[in-house]
Amino acid sequence: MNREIVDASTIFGFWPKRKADTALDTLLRLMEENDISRACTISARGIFYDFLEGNRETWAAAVAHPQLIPVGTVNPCRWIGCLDEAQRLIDQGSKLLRFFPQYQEWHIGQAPFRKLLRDVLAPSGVALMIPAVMGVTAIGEMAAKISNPVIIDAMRYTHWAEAAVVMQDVPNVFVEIHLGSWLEWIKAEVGAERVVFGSNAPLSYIPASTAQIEYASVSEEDKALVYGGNLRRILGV
Amino acid sequence: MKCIDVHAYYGGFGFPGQALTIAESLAFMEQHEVERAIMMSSMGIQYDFVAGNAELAEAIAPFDNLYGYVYINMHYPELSLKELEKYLTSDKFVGGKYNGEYCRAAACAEENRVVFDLLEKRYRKPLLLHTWGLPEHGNVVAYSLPSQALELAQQHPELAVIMGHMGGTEWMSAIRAAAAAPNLYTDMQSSIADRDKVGVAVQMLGAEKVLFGSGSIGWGLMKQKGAVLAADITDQEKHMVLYENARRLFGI
Repeated sequence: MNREIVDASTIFGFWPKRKADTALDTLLRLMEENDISRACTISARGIFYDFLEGNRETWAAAVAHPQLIPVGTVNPCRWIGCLDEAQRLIDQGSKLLRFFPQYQEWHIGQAPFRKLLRDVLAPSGVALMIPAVMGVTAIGEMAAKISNPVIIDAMRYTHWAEAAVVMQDVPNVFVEIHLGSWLEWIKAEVGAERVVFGSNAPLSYIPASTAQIEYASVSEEDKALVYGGNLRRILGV
Repeated sequence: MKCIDVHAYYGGFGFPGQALTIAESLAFMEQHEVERAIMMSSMGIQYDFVAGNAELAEAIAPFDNLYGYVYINMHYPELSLKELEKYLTSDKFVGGKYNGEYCRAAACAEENRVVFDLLEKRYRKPLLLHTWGLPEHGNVVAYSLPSQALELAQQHPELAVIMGHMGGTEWMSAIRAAAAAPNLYTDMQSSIADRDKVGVAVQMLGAEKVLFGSGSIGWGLMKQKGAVLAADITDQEKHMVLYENARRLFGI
């Protein structure tokens, strides 16, 4: 079956935490080789060093390569310029803001992120992506108070039961699956429309993520939703 | 009392301290009698070390009293070698810098030997090595322990290894490590200003093995210099810590 694949989680730039070829050209090549038609992406500069410069780099890449969907970010631990930059990203039409507390030493329960959420993110309805390491229940409690779609990324095996219960209670929570999924099981628990494909490319092998979907015992329609339909619906792209 | 800052950053970090421009740094230096400063790129430490080194080289080039460390990343040994070769032939770059916690890789691993051999044997310039007593930045194991700095110093007996932050919380471990290797030094710069860690370091190691760093010219200088000035050591020892040791070790 010929499907469209839209990737929820890619990055480009330099990766300081291990040896990895994460150049933009590498990402584009991997997308082409693996039939990824579009990908949400973000400059690693914005994760590790300067979110203002990183966001500029991300948008420049997306202008040059329309298959890329630019993802914005801010660092609440840095805080200086955080609210203004988040508002600017939303005003310029950002579809998704992704957060990296695992690298930046903050937590979604802390006051700066709560203020960011309350004053800027929640009123806009922009989609948010937050790593499971923040605590799936904590993310669910946060999501229950807002209407924004909230995608939980970097799900590990130990997060799935928690995620299923959270998603049963909180309809605007979704999961991204690059670190592993039991698609059949999560479909039975909450429906396939709550799962989005992500590869974590170029840091992770794309086929390691696509194979989980490809070989899952779910319908082709469900696979199409996970591969791209759900993310298109959530982001409106 | 005049000083040489061996631990100065160029650029910002992921917390709310404003990065100074070079002009602002120079003004601070003049105000606080910092005669010379050796800077490293914060972009290099946190993100892209090649781009960071290049940015730093351009920034310090016009100023005779500013020097640089070449930042290296142990995940990229080939690139690190090239960076060392690119900059260390210049008198402006007086040493190497590495932070194992940000990079998540210990310097003392066997596969890094060739990188530090180059510093030790060809360029004969010191290494400023980040040290801390606990894992940082979300790491669950530590990559910058004083014991790991000691291991590196013992692998490279002709390389002057300066333990940046003097082990942080575990500064006593850093002092003990420095006592075990003649080529292992301490840089007292740290957010931990326990009284009288500078005095204890000087007492146990001798003043010649303790160096002064600001951690950031803008928001660390006064604190760090204050710690040295308040230490229970002689004025001559303060002069060695603040100035003379850096002049001797870096040849500046």
